[in-house]
Amino acid sequence: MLIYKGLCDVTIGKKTTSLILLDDCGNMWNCITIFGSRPHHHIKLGGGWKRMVDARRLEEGVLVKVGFRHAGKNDTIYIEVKRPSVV
Amino acid sequence: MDPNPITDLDKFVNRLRVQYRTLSLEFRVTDVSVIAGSYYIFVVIYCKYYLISAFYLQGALMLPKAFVDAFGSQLGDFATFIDPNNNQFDVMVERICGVVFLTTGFNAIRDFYNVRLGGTIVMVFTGNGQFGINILDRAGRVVNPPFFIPPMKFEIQKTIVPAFVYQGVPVTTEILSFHHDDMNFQISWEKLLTGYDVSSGFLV
Repeated sequence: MLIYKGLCDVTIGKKTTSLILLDDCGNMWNCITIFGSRPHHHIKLGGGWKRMVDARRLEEGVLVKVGFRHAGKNDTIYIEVKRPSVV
Repeated sequence: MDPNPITDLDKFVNRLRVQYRTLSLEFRVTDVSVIAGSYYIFVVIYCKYYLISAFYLQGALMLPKAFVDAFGSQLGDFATFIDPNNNQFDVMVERICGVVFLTTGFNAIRDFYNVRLGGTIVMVFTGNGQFGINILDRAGRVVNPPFFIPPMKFEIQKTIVPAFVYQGVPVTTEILSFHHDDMNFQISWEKLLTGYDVSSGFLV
């Protein structure tokens, strides 16, 4: 959950509608963000997210690290996929 | 070689060149085994008239010198891989001390085709910085490329210049592959993906 309070309010804000998602292969995906208020304030990340999930074969239970570069308005969200190393 | 042969003679000459100017190269694979948990796949490059096998480790690839001598001038700053289902990968081309590397973006191939140890990528250079690719598994069978409508396009940020200063040619290609800057995670948190995140199309 991209929890609004404490995270998204300092990094993207309510009015942001699109973000560039940069994954750990260096690929970028154009995402949309939707602000929701129920059951509590949160932000949904859609659009390119679905494409990335399909392309990277992400499954339930994969740990992702989500980050922003600085406080204030960001236009890029960084994602690192942490899987058990497989040869 | 004339890329657009018109007369019968030109076509005939091209065909002869494809046939007879094929060569094969092998790269050392010694530094692989020490990196635990890493993966590698073998790379075979069939160019119009070169058959080259190279070595791939951790998301970057050094192009063989014979290939660079022949086609280096036709490579720009970026290359594009296209697979049989029209999925495209943008890959950055870096030149360090006369050696050409494919770096950022190459890593995406691993997850997309689910290639593991011993896999092979066959790259056919078709000019204009484009490679047609095919992935083979360890047994040499062709991996069916995933099918997407519209075809998947892996884009990379073309404005970014690598900040790393190279002193000589790097010993391993691992440091050339794309890594996140620590600064990118100044404000960060971790999340275990749920079934809803994966299936609904929204990270919630």
